[in-house]
Amino acid sequence: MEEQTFRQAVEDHRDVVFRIALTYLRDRADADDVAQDVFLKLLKSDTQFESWEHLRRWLIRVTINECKSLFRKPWRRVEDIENLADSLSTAQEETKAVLSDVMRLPERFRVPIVLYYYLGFSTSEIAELLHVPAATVRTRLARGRSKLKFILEEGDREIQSNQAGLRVHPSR
Amino acid sequence: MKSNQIKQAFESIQADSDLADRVIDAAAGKPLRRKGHAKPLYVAVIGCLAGVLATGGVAYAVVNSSYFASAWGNHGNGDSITWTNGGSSGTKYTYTREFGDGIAPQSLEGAVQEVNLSVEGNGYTLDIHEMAIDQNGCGAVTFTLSNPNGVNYYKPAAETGELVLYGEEEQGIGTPSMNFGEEWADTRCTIDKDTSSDTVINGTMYFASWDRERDLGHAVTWNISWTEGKGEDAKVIEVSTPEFNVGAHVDIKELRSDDSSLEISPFSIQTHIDDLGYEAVDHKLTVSYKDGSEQIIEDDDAGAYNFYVSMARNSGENIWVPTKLIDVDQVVSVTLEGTRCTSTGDAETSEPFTIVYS
Repeated sequence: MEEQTFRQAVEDHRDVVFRIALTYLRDRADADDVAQDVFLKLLKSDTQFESWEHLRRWLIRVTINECKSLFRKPWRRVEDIENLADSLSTAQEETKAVLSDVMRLPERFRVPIVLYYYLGFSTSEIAELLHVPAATVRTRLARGRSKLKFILEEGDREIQSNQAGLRVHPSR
Repeated sequence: MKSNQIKQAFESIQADSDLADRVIDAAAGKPLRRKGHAKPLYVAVIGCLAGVLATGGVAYAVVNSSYFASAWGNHGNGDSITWTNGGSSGTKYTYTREFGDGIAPQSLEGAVQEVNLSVEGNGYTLDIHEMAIDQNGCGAVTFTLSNPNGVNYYKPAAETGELVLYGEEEQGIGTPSMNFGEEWADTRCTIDKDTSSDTVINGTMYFASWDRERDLGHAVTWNISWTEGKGEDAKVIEVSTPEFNVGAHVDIKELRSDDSSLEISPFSIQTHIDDLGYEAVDHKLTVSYKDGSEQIIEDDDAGAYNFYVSMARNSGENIWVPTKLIDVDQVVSVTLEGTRCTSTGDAETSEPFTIVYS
């Protein structure tokens, strides 16, 4: 990959990669290492990307695989998560609190929640990324939302079971 | 919480702006600058102290009161601790953790196993004293961590009774951990405030295996780790005690509801709510005794966190290691309350549930 194209790819996608890694690892330093490794793989990859969206989805898939294979401690305490949120964001207290609440969820609920609500993937797409049945994704989303004590307003997105094609929102 | 708040929250997180430069430098042959803990693990040759041997499998005829006083007492915290954190609405939530009195029920006579194993590394010595473990793969082990030059631990956490160390700091080590064979256990360490100093930490490690069937047949080791080198050359060095062959496991007792079971011991409770055919979220767990008293293990609404370990095993079991020993012989029932979620096609429902196991 040409350096200029690579730099543009990092500029456009580094936050998505970092945020997914953070969702898995719940540690800023570990997530930064993963982002570094993912983009190093991109730089060395000979994959022919059909589009910028194709590249983005490749990065997301590689990030998930990297996180799954990493040596890490899988469980963090409530107190750790509060500190993590403080270290991540200079935004409002409410934003930190949302991050804390999501990060407290077990991985199997936390990751689908972030892929669905932040990245805008359909449940079918999440199922493909995580290698679990779509029905499992839907129930994990429901269970995760319940644990978050969601109050979804009318008009908010509803879980749809058979969405096809891309439905990815811009992340930045 | 609205779903768009999650999107907004995650968009507030930014990756480092020098990422492209670092990767391009690495591709050109410069060392990668690593920051995290998730490095490849280099396990050093076992660094045990000579002359200290395991006495695995030895159980004692009487309840070891010093073990229970240390491991299942209050660690110098008084009856309870309270802390606050922000909530999703911006309000503060208050949490409490109540501690036990360190007095063991008669059923635990003979449950304590002397370990007497040690490991040294980076100036530290970890001495493992005594442990008790149940058939759920949960329990507690007492230890002493010492360094004549001072133990570098996180003081604010210690104020609330927890021992947290940072292995990436110079002359530091990570918080001690525990393995069943090659597999990590989920652990949490506490510090006994009354008997610890800047150079000698007395504490307890609470643990739960990640897979009861897989792990219980393996010997146990305890580990300390630290980081040596910088950048791409940084390595996590881990040293472990010799293996300890676990002797007796404290019995668990099965309680049942109409459609599910639960395994309870003095050290843990395991539920199987994923076997119920729907997604269930637990919010409250209560043990009821013959004398009418209750032991609340967890209560989300009340902010009660009366446990050391709480986790969901990948196979669907949920495990709690409570702060107070459970007198199993006196238990009448265990009540699990939560929310039941079902999803069929586009339709979703959620409703509260209560399961009573007896």
